[in-house]
Amino acid sequence: MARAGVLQLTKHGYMPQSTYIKAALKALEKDDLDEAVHHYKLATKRWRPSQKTEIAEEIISSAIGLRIAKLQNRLAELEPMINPSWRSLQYWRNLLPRNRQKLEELREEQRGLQEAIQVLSSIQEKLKENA
Amino acid sequence: MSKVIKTTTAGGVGFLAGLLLEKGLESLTGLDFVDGLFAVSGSILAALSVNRDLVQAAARNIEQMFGKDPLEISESEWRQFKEMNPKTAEWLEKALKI
Repeated sequence: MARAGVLQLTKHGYMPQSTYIKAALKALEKDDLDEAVHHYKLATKRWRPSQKTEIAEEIISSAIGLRIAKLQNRLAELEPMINPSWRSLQYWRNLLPRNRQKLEELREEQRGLQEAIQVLSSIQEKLKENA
Repeated sequence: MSKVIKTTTAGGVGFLAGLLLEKGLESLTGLDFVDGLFAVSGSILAALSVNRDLVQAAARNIEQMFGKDPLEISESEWRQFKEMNPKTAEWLEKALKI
């Protein structure tokens, strides 16, 4: 009964902020960004953010930003391979039938990266909502 | 600060490692940033009610950002980190008494 009560209090953001910040940082360590943001939101649901909470927000946001930057770097690498200038050798290479499979794989990777960036950006926006 | 620069240059260690050395840490062998920070600034960190998880998460971000251990980053890299993470950096600076 008591345990269920504590669970309910935790679920609705009534526990001390440090409880949620610890959980958010643990989730971040496991690379579970959704969970990290969820716990951060609970930390600020009922209480005004403390200094530690603000720092945790910055750390989570920065971790997401770093992941986005890595994906964007890879996208920048792919761009000249997928859409080379017609004056480049790559452009003519891409037209060869034997390179079509490789090109298709790169396009697939590009789509995956774009989707991942979108997802990460939406998580980052969610974190900053009402911040 | 000039002492720190001297240590950093002379010892060939990173900016944060230099700071930890300045704070009296004799040898950084086998120590990482988090342990080092807690070893030299334990009481200050306690006063700031610093959470070890926060320091570890910040250290991971530094590692991700520069691809090296926080102890190895240069002063300019630290400034870059500070620009992007002002609250975290200020809080760590307080602990390191920069």
